[in-house]
Amino acid sequence: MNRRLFCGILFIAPLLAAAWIMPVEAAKDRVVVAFGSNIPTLDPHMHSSRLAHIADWHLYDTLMDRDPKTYKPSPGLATSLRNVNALTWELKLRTGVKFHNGEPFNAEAVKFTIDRVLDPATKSVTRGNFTWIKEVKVVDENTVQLITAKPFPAAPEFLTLAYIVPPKYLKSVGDEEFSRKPVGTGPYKFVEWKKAEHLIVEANEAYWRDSPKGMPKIKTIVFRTIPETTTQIAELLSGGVDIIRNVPPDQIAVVKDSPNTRISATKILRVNSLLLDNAGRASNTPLTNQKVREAIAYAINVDEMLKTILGGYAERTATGVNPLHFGFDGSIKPYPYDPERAKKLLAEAGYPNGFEITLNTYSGTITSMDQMADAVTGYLAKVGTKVRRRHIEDVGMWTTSGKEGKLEGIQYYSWGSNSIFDADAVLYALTYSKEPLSYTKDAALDQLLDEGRTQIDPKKRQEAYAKAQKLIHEKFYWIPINVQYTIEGVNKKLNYEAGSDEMMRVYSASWKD
Amino acid sequence: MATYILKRLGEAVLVCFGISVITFLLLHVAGDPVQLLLSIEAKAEDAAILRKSLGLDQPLYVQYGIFLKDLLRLDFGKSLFIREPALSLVLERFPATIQLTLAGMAIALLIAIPLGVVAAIRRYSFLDNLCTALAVSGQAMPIFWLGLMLIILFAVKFHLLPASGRGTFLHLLMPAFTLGASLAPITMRMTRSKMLDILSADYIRTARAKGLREQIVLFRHALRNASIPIVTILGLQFGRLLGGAIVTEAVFAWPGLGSLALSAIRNFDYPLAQACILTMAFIIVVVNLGIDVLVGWLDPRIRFD
Repeated sequence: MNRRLFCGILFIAPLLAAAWIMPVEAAKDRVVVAFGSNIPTLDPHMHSSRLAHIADWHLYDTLMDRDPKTYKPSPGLATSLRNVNALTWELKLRTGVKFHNGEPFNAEAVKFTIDRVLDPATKSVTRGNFTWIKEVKVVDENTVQLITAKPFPAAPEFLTLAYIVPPKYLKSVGDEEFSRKPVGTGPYKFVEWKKAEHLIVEANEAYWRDSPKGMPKIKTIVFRTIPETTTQIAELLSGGVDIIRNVPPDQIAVVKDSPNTRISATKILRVNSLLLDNAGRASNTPLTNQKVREAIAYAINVDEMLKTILGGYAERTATGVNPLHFGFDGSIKPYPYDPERAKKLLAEAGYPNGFEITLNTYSGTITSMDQMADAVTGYLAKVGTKVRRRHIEDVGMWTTSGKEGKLEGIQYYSWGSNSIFDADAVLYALTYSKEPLSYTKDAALDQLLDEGRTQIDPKKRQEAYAKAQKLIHEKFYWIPINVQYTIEGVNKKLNYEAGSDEMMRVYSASWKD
Repeated sequence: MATYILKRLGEAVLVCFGISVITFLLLHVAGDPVQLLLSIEAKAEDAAILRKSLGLDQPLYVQYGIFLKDLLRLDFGKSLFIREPALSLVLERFPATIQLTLAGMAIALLIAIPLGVVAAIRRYSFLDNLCTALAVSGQAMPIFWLGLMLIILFAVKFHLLPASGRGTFLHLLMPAFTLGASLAPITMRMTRSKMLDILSADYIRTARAKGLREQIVLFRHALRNASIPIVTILGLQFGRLLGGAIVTEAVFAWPGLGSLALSAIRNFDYPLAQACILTMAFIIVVVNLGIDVLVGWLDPRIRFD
């Protein structure tokens, strides 16, 4: 080859290589959903990813469903659920349901699924959601009993996470192949998964008729990975995708003003609060003094923060428990904004000139985190309290530091309750004295939380949680900021609304004619 | 020549080994994948069980030893998040990145060479100044900003091109241009200055004195000699191009190695991040070696011994 020819090829080859042309897909009986990151796996027991859960919700069914209006557990693959005794839950299973490959759904599939998750060899990251089950007993083809070690009233909640997998198929193809080519009982069937690009699912024509999810109305759903929020918004505006999650508050107007798109927003289970190290666990700060905590509560104008920073897409909670949680006490009123009273309280507590305190923040789950933390810093400065900011970028590091008791002062905390709609899911983890994330030590509170956790009677549980919330409120253990909203951008021609459990129910979406 | 290549390949192995130690240490110091895998709400016992089953409870040197032993068999281990062999995930994404990088390079050359030549011929003219201005602003423009501007203009405003993703030739245009625009300025400046050097060389004067047509003087005598340093620069910039591909891939949701590496690093997915970084390092080393060999072949004055 002579050198001239070579130089020519050197310049032209990249162009030729770049011209690989791939087929264009142009079907309209489909809806495209943008995801911010890749789905790690389609095996429902091997991830804790919200996005993968959304995909699972379409491919599989769970023993308990969640009512899209009340968000309470409702019959799914299990038609009924009752306590035979304090340690036994009996489930009646739906008959006539088949997996996408024709395999029947039955008691055997339930036992296989739960045993699989509980087996440490499976290395399931969702194992913790099922460790309350000691044993699964098959009573007959359509009845199973779950034997628990301790009374476990939150069982219906946790069974909304019990995606049932087909035993025969899974055993024949193995874990790895199953995670790539899943088979479930859900409203949509698996078609194609290109990990970095998209997951395509197709309506299951043979879906079981009386399912609470309903028969799918759109033939194909494409879940596309688009990491950049700005790119997602551009795709939504240009019609490339139909639904995007997590529109930042400062971009809401862009989506609203476009003739083809709208905002669908609703409150979710996530609650953001300022956790105060009231027990002095990380270090002894003025926060161990109740008057100081009270002063901080009055110094922050939460309503103004929600209005100006979050554009009103937020709701205040007085107790740190979400109004969607079972056990929420709505009779408690939020702390008023009263900087004068705050200053007076600080003077009484012996800090007439304020003090210095650390505010710990992290990246990830809180909407407009930086601006919100800036606002808190500003309000505290107004009452003479100087805030030192410590930001931890990585969620893992944040959680580890929190569990090891290293986050001194104030933590800007966010808690999603693991999608469990029960006060126990937030109060126990964050205020029970022996819990690794708790910076509160209060024997009376522990007793109330224990009562709520082990009581089966809903009325008594409600009472226990109401008392617990009052106690937390009166002692100023934390300062609740807001119930977070999920803010989605949606094609105007699509019938679809965002869900409070952060699940996307695209299976019930339809096109307007 | 063969000894030279062997020697350089030996060096390449050492470089890759060094990179593996550094990335291994940095990743393990930076964060903990177990917490990310489990979500914040998970209990400490569950974290301990998972940590053990992933072998992450072992001391660092033991983990590195196991990693190195497997690496010799080209086994990077399984991705912690995707739970598939890391190398196969990397290879799956490889074509998309190569496609984007080559297309970016092609666009850079298409812009840079003609402009560089013109700027050299018309030195200090308006055109030359314009090219300098373009080069400076092109170099100053962050890739993500240019990418987003293109998306807003061509996808949102005029609906001419798809905003993101990989599929047709049209999908490739904006990301390739974005990436190319980051490489074009330096290549253009290089072309211009080399052309200026060469145009004042004796053999060009001789060629002109012989009465050769100006086109032949420019393209056969000058540009061909200028192409040697341009090829060298391209080789050196290849690493930067791969780095730029990470950002470009994120902006355009391009399913390549860059976005895979980015998410692997964010998730502290050690095996996958190692596989991505080592593959990229290997490509850069090989490309540089290839360029060295190529330059020697293009330029008969260079000898390898």
